[in-house]
Amino acid sequence: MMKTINKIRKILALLIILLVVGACEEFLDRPTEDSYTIDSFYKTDEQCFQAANVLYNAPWYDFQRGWVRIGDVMAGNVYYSTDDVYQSFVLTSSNAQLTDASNSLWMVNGHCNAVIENIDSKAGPDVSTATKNTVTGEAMVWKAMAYFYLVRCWGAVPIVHSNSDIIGEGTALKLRRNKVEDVYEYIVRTLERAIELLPEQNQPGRINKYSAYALLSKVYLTRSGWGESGSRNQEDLDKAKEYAAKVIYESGVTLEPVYSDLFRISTGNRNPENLLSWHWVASDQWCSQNSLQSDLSLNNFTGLADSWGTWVGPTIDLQRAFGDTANTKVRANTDVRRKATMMMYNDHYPYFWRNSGGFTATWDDDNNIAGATFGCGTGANCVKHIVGNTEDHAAEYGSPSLRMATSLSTALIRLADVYLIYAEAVLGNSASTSDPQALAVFNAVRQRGIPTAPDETSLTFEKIFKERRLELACEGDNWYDFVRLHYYNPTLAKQWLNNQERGSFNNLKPYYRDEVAQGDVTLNSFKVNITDDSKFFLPFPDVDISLNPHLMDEPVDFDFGSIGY
Amino acid sequence: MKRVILFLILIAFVAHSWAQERTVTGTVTAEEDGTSLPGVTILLKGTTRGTISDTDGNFTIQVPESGGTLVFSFVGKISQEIPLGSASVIDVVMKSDVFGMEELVVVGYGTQKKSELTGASISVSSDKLEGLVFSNLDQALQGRAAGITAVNTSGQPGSSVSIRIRGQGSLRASASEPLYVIDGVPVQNVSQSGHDIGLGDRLGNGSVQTFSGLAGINPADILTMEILKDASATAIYGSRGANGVVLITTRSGRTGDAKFTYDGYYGLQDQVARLDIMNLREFAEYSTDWAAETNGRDPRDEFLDPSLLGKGTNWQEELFRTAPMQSHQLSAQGGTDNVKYYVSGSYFDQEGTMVGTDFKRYSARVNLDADLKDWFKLGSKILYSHTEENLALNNSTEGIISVAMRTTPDVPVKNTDGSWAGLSYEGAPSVINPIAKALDETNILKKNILYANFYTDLTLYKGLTLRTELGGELGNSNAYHFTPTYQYGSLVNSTNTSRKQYNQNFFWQLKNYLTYSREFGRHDATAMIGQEVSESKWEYLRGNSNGLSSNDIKEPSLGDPTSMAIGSGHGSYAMSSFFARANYSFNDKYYLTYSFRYDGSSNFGPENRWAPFHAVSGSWRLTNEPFLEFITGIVNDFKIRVGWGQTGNQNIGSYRWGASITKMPTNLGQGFRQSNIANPYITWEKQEQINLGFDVGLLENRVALILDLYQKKSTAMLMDMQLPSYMGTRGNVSIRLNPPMGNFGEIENKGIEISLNTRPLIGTVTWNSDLQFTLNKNKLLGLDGTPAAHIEGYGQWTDLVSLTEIGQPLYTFYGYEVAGVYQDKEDILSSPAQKAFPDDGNFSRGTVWPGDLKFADLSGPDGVPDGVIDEYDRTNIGSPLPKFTFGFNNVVRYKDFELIVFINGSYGNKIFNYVGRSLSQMNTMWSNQLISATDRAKLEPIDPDKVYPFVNGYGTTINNWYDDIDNVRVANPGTDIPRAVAGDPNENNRMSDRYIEDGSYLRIKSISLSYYVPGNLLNRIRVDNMKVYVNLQNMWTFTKYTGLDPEVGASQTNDNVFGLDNGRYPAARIYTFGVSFTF
Repeated sequence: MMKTINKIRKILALLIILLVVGACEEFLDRPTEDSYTIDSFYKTDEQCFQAANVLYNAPWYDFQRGWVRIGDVMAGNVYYSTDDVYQSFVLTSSNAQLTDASNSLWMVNGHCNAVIENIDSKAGPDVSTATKNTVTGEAMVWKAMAYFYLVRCWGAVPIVHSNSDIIGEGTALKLRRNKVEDVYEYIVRTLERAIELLPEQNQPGRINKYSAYALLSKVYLTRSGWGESGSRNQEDLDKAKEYAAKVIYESGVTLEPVYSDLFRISTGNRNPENLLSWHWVASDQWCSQNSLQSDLSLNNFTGLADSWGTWVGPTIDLQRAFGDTANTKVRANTDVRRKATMMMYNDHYPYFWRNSGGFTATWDDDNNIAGATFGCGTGANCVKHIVGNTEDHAAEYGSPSLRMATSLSTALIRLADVYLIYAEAVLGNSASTSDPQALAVFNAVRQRGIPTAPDETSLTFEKIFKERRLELACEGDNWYDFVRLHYYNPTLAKQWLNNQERGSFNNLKPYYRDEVAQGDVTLNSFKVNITDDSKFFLPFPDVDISLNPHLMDEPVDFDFGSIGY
Repeated sequence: MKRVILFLILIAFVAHSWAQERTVTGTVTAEEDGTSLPGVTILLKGTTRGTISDTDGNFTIQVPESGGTLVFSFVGKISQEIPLGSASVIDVVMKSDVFGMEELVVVGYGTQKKSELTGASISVSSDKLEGLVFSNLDQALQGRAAGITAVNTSGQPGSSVSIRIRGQGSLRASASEPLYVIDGVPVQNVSQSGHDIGLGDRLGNGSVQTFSGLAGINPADILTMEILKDASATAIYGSRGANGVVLITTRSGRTGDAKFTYDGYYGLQDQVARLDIMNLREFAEYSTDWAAETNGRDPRDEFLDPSLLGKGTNWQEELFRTAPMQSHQLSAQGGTDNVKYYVSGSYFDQEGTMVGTDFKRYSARVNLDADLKDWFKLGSKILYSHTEENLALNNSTEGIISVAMRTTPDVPVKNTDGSWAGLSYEGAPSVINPIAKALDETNILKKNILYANFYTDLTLYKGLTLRTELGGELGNSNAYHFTPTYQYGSLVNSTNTSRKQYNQNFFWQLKNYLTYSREFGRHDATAMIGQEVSESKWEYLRGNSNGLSSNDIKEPSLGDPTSMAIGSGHGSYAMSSFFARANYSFNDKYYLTYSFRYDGSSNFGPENRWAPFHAVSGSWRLTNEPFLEFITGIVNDFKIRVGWGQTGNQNIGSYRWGASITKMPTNLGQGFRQSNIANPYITWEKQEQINLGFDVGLLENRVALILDLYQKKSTAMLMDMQLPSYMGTRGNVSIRLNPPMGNFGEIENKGIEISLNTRPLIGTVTWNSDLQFTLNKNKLLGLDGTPAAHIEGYGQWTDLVSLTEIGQPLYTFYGYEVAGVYQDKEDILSSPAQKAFPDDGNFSRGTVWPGDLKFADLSGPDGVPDGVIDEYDRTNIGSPLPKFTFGFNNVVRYKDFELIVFINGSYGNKIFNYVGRSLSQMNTMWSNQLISATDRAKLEPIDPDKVYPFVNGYGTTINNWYDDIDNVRVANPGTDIPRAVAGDPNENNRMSDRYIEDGSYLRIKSISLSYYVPGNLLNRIRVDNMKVYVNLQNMWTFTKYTGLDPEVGASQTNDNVFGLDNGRYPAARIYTFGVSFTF
């Protein structure tokens, strides 16, 4: 009996112990166990750089499609179909690529703000000031880049300087748009601050001081026309020239001699000419990769059943700008950039399908090395952003490509771009210029593309504008040249767009197969007729307007006193 | 104290020593049909001595010479106490107890007599489920209990059911399932996503999945399911009680010889519903017309003479099949007075009616109860189960059903050489052959679960017991995915992919509670106080690779070494709780209950870790009042219940109060990003509920009505802060900066539940009917932020399909209202302007055009119609939540036959026919369409003689009447289907009420006919009893819905979406034959 009672006692004692254990606060304190938290990270230089690494790829992922659609389809460089809302300028606010693009750019800003704030408040004592400055500078350049896209696409947008502050204050749903000039001012100030923080040289592929100068010169050049009519603001043009000159004469970077090498993994990913790039990697983590190949390459081109670009390709208008056209079988290869930009009948690429002797665009579905399907009505397909099959990827990068994933970096600002910015800034409001430095950089770009081209002796706006198109076609940039022009000369911007041939050819395939004569290839012409200036601003995504109707209000001034620089 | 206990124990021993004994015998029969009742428990009152009536209802029991009182009890019958006097033969007739007043009902942390319940709860006992075919226990709840809305997520075998007790109480679907407690142990992982188990988004992106966390439980082991509905019943579960609690009790052993029972059935399943899509001839005609109507497209030569064509591939016939299923269970039940056991083993195998899907389960259970001493009981309940399922993506635009519906009938399934065929068409990626995908791609989920619970009951003092339970769950789930290399027509995949993930979870729980009951004359009081602590740990390891040298062996280790990657993680979660309950009753008339729980959860930060939950309830049994005795002839029983209580919800996963860092590979090396914005103040979602209930028994309990009215309000609802995209919190979940989760919303559910049980016929033919009716109104009361704050839901990717504004029911569909079809230019000009109205007034077929849909101008920037059709004109276009649901069960018995007919249904819910939308787009000639697309708006010239070409005022050359806006009109003015047009410039396919359909249905859920083989036949083969039955499940469904199956629940591809049919796996019609016998 005593035994039993002792047992009961023991049980009761155990019960009391358990009550104490149960109440123990430590038992319930369980921060995340298998990953870092913002309080436990940012403790070494390496961790701080790793925090910035993400800004070079994943947040930009959903912008890739919009980047091509806006940058090149709207610009008349890439054909999707005459029904495509970007190609025919009937874009509405519910468009999926538009929503994705907008989400993505804002995500970039949010992540940049998070990095800037966390480096400032959470970095450990072992992190060097140089690292903090570099990482903060990198984040500021990416933030500026995101806002530069935002302001050129949508015009007035809200300035979100600190996501956590706005959420903390509970004002997230009440923000107004800020005026376009303030957004530009914010970009300029952010870049100026970044320039103070960034080193002259950084690890290969990372942003350095000159990446920031390059972007700043482009921002000034673009801003110079805002709110002006017929001419541009000379102060901004001077700044654009000044910062472009820093990159050209002080960075030590020169043009890559082989144009096509800029767009391949092995020669392009860390090419010094590529001053600012997204650095994708094919991994098992979605969003880390470059997926442009899937959208832009021929069906079956990759061998992974993950490409659908057979009916997508450079426009007839762009072919003509290069001096070529798909309704002939003989290629006019005066401009090396043509073949590096678009794949046309009979073009041979030794670096695609290299394990099978290279790829030739035979326009014969049953008789090409990839088993690819040809079909784009313009007779051309994209080459930039294309890597090839998994073995090409392995040869260029060291590991094979994955479904919808390559490790090809995407150049956003190249030295050649800065050369042309310099020329345009020097030309400024004049009708023409013979400035020797402007001519030198312009000719350097042009003659890399067309080795036989004679030296230009005088530059006009139209010459520079056209050269920019040839040099930067299919790099997600050309539309913004129209935006820049539209700021101060809307008539010319509309006229040039309305003149573009955005249609397709009939009977191309039978012609290439010798089934019909060249004369049977007819042009199915399609041109846009833009009369409304609102076409130069993209519609704000639906979701945001319904959550915050104030976005429709007139843009307001931004309080620059609140940002500390 | 010590002495008191010693004294009491002594008394207990003394009480055991009986002097003289004698034998009492008798027979027990049922009142309604006079048949003998086997299995009735006969207990000598005040002792543990008892017996059970045999198969013929006979019993024998030893009683003291002095007599005593015998208590006869049986499930579903009113208990009787018979004073023995000197009688030695006692025959007892037992009356049905429709309310089950005398039954002991499982409540949280204890049991109560049903008559003492003050809260709202409802039982579903195993006998209600006999003959029905279901793989998971949650499927059994549909239509069985008032207040419960159960919707099958999918018709896939082993699939889950979304159960909502008294409406959607929380925003997030994954956090709205009730708490399931099996034999005292809460079930972990009831709701998991494909990402959680390692299949990524192979089964969709949403948090609701087709596979069920309850699939490991063998339904045949279940004795009862008790569903606690109102807060006064669930508050004892505190922070986990907000969505209601389902208490599941498995069978136990009983005294007597071992009884072996075999239960088995074999069934065939098929799909009866088909969408009305085009066959090859119809499609060829459509394709040719489409090319002509949309211009610029060449018709396909092979389609020019449809009469030469056959019917082509019927993808629906290829996809669906007649599939077998079978279930076998063998159990043994028995024991001595002191030790009782229930042991069972089962095998269940169901093939899916869609190719490439199946489900298998093996389970074994051992339940033991032992009375070691008078004051010491010990028991255990142990289950091991293994499940294997082949899963497929459905209810998604890329899902197999959706793809099959869209694939054109000119494409064969296989080429003549036996290889898979494929479809390649202009402007889009090649379409993957859906049958090939279903059969070639591997998505396997294997699970092992070990549940165990051990208990001891110590009687410390008269009426004072201490119960200690140690329980837990050890589970692992392994997920396998393999995409082979393939060639489907021209679509070639040259690299295969293999992926495997091992997940392990371990949960343990220890609880102790003291219960003290005492009667003082007419007062009866019970008090309970206890404590509980639990911890859950999980971890996983994943390996994946590409480029295996063949498709034969699917191990990730055989892939290309440079492509190999691993993933891993672990985490834990803990809770600590204290709770108490007091029950008091007076004279069997007034009952009062108070309960309290204090919970601490590791899901919350130090700021808000602990929370208290209270509840009070009372009931009044009017029929026990002397002044109402005069009505007892008609009203046998009348009870009023009133309750109020608080519960909580904490189901958000761990560490949402802080900001964690996630790895993201980059080309510059490892990357790490902040994954969310922290909210250290996040705390419990709180819910308050009031309940008013009436239990009425009429006409000798031949009519029993239970009516409950309730209102429950969830405040501080746990949800992501709803932010515009400029906060960086929208877009791809793999990279977005997730918004802070916090307590931002308020939801109300109000409703009426009626449970009406009647016995229209008694005697030779008996008829029992049971009607369950549930009416619930759901409303979003508030959200933090501005008045414009709302909750969005997306269809596939970025299609906004639902938007809940304050004051509306959750998940309300959102879009435009269709006002008609533009007949001609005049009609366009006189209607509100569409976005596709040309800037310069120069209409073309790429702008708005006759035959396009006219949408209603409902509002504008100033809140009034503004003559422009834009985003402001979107509105609430219907709610997917039903106005009411019901179940109606009828049992008719005649001699040895029993017929059960069960009908269930739903009324007033809308379905977004998303698959129908993709089958009526008419914007390409490469996708199959519904036959109704032939009734689209067709155009004709107003003046056929007008001369072309001419140059219009804008300088455009007009070549034909169909390009001339002034000369075009709709030829079939009555149509409500728009014109066919590539690119859809007017966005006729935007989200609109065009796709909203009435989802009400009435389903003959089951008809089953059983034959109980008479005993005299059985005795020869030494079988105690035997039943054979046939069952027809889902025989007929009456609905106006045009899709495959009107039972459409939560979306598997997106959270916050309900009732969107994107190619949901429909429920099968099942024919089964079964047999059950005991020996």
